[in-house]
Amino acid sequence: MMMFKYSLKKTLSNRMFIFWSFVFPVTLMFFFHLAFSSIYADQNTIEPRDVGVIYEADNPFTSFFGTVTGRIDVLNIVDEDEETLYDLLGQNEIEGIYIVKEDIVEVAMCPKYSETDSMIIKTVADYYIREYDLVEQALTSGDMDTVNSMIDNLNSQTDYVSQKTGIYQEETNPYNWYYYATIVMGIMFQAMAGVNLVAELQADVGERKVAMRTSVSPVSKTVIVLTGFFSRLLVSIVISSFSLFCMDRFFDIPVGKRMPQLILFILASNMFALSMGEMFGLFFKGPVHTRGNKGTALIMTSVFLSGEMIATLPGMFERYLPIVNDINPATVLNFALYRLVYYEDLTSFYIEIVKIVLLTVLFLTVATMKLRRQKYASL
Amino acid sequence: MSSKVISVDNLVKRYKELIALDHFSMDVDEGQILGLLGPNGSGKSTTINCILSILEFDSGDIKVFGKKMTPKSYDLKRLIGIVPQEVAVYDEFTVYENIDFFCGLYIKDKEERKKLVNEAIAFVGLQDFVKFKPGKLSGGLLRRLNIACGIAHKPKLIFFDEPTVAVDPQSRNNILEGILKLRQGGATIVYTSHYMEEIEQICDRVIIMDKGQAIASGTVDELKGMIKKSELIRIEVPGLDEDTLSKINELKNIYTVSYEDNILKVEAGSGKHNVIDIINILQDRGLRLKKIFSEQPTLNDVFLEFTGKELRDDL
Ligand SMILES: Nc1ncnc2c1ncn2[C@@H]1O[C@H](COP(=O)(O)OP(=O)(O)OP(=O)(O)O)[C@@H](O)[C@H]1O
Ligand SMILES: [Mg+2]
Repeated sequence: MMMFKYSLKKTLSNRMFIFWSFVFPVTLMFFFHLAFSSIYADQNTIEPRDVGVIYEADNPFTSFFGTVTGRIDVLNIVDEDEETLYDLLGQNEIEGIYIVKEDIVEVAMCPKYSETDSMIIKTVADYYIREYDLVEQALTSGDMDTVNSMIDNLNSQTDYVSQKTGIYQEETNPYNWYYYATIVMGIMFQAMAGVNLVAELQADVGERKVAMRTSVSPVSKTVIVLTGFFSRLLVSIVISSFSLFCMDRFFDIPVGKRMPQLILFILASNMFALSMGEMFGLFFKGPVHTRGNKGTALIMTSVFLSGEMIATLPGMFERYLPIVNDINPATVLNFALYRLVYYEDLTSFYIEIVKIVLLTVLFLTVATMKLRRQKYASL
Repeated sequence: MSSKVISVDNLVKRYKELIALDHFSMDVDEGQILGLLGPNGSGKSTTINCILSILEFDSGDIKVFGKKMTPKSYDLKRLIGIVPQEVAVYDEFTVYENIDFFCGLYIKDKEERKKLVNEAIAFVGLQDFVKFKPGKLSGGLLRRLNIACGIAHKPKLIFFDEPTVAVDPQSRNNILEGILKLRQGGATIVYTSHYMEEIEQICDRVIIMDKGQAIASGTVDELKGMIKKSELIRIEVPGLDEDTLSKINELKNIYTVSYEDNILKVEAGSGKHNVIDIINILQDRGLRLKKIFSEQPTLNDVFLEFTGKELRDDL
């Protein structure tokens, strides 16, 4: 108990560790949020487009058009006469004009229209034309449900349109991906605690001369390792849970509603990082900080390849060299988290978790074997 | 059952080509302060690390409290304390926490530990610094903390590996006195140093090491007795006659006598009474003595004679 308490204290007062696994990722997310969240919101929530409507005929087809468009979230109908509307259009004050004829709707776009503008505005017109038969039936039979569901459908369709026409083209949403990658980076840096853990058992590893004291003490290595492991695991679980909380709460990036799976993810990923750190500590040469630095370099590479800086990188690998994504731990963790949050079907999430768990088991076995063989504290 | 606390027999430790310990043997009796004296790289720390089973050795036999010592000898380890050559404390813990942590590796009971930790703090005189982190302590205070961490659990056998390196003379004396106190409390102590003065000051027995071998061992006086180099006595005394000179020459333990410019020079074998014997003769003859110098042989001379080199070529 005494050892556990001090081990916690040790881990918490390791500034480098806290920096890399917590302060750094959260700060990155914060700045990313400041810089990009508004731009992103632009791309993804649809600001209503200002449009005018000009009626060139007067029949049910034309008259009902007004009712429908008036109820679509993404359109803001500007009520002016024909001349004013064309003026506004010419000055880019409104994005488009619907010219409703006998049985067709034409669309005029402003000179500086964007792809998204035209997509949204045209989709509404197309859909209206296509579905007008239904509307007509509904109108004659007085079945307003059909009309309402049609309008709902149109609303959700335009949503879909906007997703597809954003700047991001990959399967994943790169804005969110960035946050998940940053969270994963923090978790990967929990490995630093693993490096320190094994250093504590090796009297010859540079700065940590204290290993000498622990190894001459009557406390067995197993106890030291287990205490060190679980105290660090506890700290890293708290840290990554808190980072996820910050992400969800302050940066509006969802962690999803699947708590048991999220806990599974946090547990598996942190155990993985710790055991990976043990590998670094056991197999790299030199004093502790050198081993740590080599580990940091590896982690950064892995994190980079997972798209922490270039969010489309994993997408590229997916297309040209999928093996990289399959074996890069940071990408595997990212996929796991992303799929956990967004995918209906959790199979692919579980596959990633199984990969992580297998790797962790492998690392822990190797570490245990190696530590067992080092009967003597210094080599 | 002997009272040997440590017995090391024919210990050999190689680092690749380098033979760090070359058939080294030593015994330590209960309640003794054993000094390991040797220049840098002579194998002092290596010896300690082998005894403690931190270091694997090539051959030889090590027993502590009559039992074979292995990395898993937890019952033996419980009785041992160590003050390593390099300060070994956690930078992130305070003075109190460090001592508490290391003491806690031996003592589980909270109340008892608290008492022991406070005793250790008082013992090394760090009462005013309990809340300090090691980074804020001066070199000497840090050494004291290093000692406190090793002795708080009241070990029966304590290893001090050059605990006074880079410590000012005053702190050094405090440390040496502390070690004597620990012995009074019943501890057996192994003390390494390359300062012969310290070794002479506190050790009951000394093993002189060089290149991983024990080149001589015994009490300080025994060691000094082993060499030919004698005590050099100079006395300024005017008007000395031949008769007196030959009288002095006849004293036992005296090698050479000369008299020049009112100064009597005598080389004597080691012994405690040489100066007194000579002074007695001179005073019997009513001679007035002006100045008396006596140069005792040092362990350095012992080392020099056994190895042909100085114990320390620096300093
Ligand atoms: N890890 C190591 N690898 C290779 N050689 C080593 C190692 N540790 C010690 N040695 C060598 O073993 C010899 C004995 O070293 P040791 O540290 O025991 O000397 P020492 O008497 O304690 O010296 P000092 O007064 O400098 O502490 C030295 O020559 C040293 O260079
Ligand atoms: Mg040494």
